[in-house]
Formats: sequence, structure tokens, C-alpha cells
Amino acid sequence: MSQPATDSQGLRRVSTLDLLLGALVLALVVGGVVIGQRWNEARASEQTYAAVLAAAKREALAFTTLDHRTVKADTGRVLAGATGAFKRQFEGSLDQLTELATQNESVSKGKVLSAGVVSADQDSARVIVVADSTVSNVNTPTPQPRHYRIQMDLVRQGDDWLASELEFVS
Amino acid sequence: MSATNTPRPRRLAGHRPSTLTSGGRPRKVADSRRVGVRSAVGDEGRADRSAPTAVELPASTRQDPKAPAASGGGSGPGGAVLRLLARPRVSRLTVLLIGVAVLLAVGVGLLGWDLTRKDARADARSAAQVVAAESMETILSYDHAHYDKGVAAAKTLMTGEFARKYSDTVATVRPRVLETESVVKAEVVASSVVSAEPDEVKALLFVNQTTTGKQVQEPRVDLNRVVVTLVRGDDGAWLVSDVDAL
Repeated sequence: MSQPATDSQGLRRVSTLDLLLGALVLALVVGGVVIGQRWNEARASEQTYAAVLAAAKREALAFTTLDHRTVKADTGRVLAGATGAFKRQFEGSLDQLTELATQNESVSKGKVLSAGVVSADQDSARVIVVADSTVSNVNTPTPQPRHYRIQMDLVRQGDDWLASELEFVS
Repeated sequence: MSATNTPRPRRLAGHRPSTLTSGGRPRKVADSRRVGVRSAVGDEGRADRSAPTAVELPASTRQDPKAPAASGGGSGPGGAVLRLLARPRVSRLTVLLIGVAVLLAVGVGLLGWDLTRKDARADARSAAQVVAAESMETILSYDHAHYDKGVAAAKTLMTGEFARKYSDTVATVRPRVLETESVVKAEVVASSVVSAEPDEVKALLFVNQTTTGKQVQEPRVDLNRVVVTLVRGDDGAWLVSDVDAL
């Protein structure tokens, strides 16, 4: 008599435990999905900051670097990281820039000292960049230091961040 | 042995029921067992209340060697565990569920921990960006008319260590500020974050400093580029721990 009673009681208890464990697993999966989504967003925004800074530094370096002997390659680097209004402006001034650089035999060597993110979302960002350059030309053969405060707006295009606005902050 | 002994126990049982074991009639054996169990319980402890009732079931339990374990196991709280362990089919599912739950808990826990770190970095980023701009406008501004008051206010925004460095700088600058009756107004025209950790943030600021005084004919504007390091103080407030003019 006592034997089947223990049996059924035992089975019932095991399945209750398994049900509880199943509920726990389910709760953990749901919790994991919720936390996972938030984690993914947080990771994405951190990756955005890093990507935006890298792109802005690269573009600022390209923009402050120009050698009259390699004008095409130097300006090509600027255009490669540019889009929108900034790209149009730069393209518009390209002939004049090339002429001036060639005539004056100017050499500008840029260096990026620091950059920080002012604001950023998934598709657009504003960055400020500290850059210096040394500039020499036929009139001033001794390299002259220049100090820049650059503000750059960037937009995401696919996997790339491209500069759409660039200005010196006064 | 058993063949030759068989008659004897009967006789012995008939005369003296108290003797041991095997060949005797169930009754007698039950009697002797009962006595034995009682004394054992008496020896080991009176606290076990279930013992006397357990003795009432010897006949049925004796047949199946597994049975005593089952009924005995059912009497205490440890019995449930014993029963679980004794059932491999159920145990496998339970073990699997426990394993999955543990793995999920560890995974979700790690994810959650990393999320709190990321959230803390994001909070630090936005909070320190504002504090950096406000603090540097105070620290980089001064007025000869109430210079010491301004210095005292600036020090409240700094870590103790940086405040001491700042004091050294102030000591060398102060005479000239008073002599030239200088007034410097700092304005942050752009603020950004270079890097952010939950307890330390580096901010890059563009600061315009407008100087008036006897040493300048007209107000002079310096376009500064400043990297400020901020750390979280004991009360959670962000304090300037380093300033680097680029």
C-alpha cells in the first residue's frame, strides 16, 4: 500500500521541481533577451564613439597634410573621407588649391593631437579635433607651426563614417 | 548443517523463545527483533519518535530488501533527496534543467554586469562632459579684484592633489595678476569626450580666454585647446584631477 503512494508522490514532486526549473530557465531566457538587447545597444554606441573618433582623426590628418609633390594623392585622401557639403566645397576648391600648392611649393605636415566626441547617435556625430601642422613654402622655407581647432560633423554611410562638415572653431 | 538442525530449533523454540535467529517461527523471530530494535533505539536516542511505529511493520518489510530503504526514506526530509537520487530517468531531466539554468544564469549575469559597466561609462560620459565645461570656465577665469575668492572657488572643483599643484601655479601668477589688474574670462566654445570609464573621463574642450588689463591695449583672445581629466570623488561628484593645455 505504501509503495505506490510513495511512487506517485515522488513522481509528482520531481515534475513539480522540473516545472519550477523549466520556469526558471524560461525566465532566464526572457531576461537574457531583454538584457541582451540593451547590451547590444550599449555596445553599438560604444563602437560608434570609437569609429567616429577614428574617422575624424583620419580626416583631420588628411586635411592638414598637403605636399605640392603629391597633391593628387593628398587631396584624394581628403575626398575619400568626405561627403555632402564638405566634399562639394573641397572639390570646388581643388583646382585653386593645387595651383597654389604647386606655385608656392608648399608642404604642410599635419599631426592630430587629440579628438573628442561632442555628440553622436547611430547615423551622425559631431567631433572636435586638435591638430597642428608645420607649413613651409618658397617664401618661408623654415617650417612654421600652425595650430588648429577643428569641428567636424560626420555621417554614417554603410560601415564608414564620412565628414559632411568641417570648420575651424574661432 | 540445516538438514541436521531442522528439528532442533522447533524444540528449542517450544521451550525457550528467547534464543536467536533463523529457523524459528515468524512470531518468535518478530518478538526477538522487536526487543532488539527497542533496545537499539533506547541506546541511540529517545528523540526518534518514529522508531516504535517502524517496528510494527517487520513482517511486510522483511520480504523485500529494497522496501526498508523506501519506507524508511519516506519518514524524514532527507528522504525526498534520496528518492530523487534513486531515479535516474527523472534525475537526468532535472540535472539537464539545472545545468541549463546555471549556464543561463552565468551568461545573463555576465551580460548584466557588462551592461552596468557600459551604462556607467555612458553616464560618466554625459555627466563629466557638462562638469568639465563648467569647471574649466571657473578655473580658467579670474579677476584681480577678488582673486583669492576665485581661487578658493576653483579649488572646490578639484581633487586634493590637483588643488595643491594649482596652488603652486597661483602663487607664481598672483603678483602679476594683481599688478596688471587683469581680468580673464574663459568661455568654453566646444566640449567633447575623449575617453570615458565609470570613474575617469578625459574631456577635450575648446576654451576662449579673453584678457583685459594694463598689460594689453585691447582685450586679447586666446584660443585654447584643453584636455581635462575628471575623476569621481567620494561623494560621486566629478572633480578635475588634471588639466593639459595642448
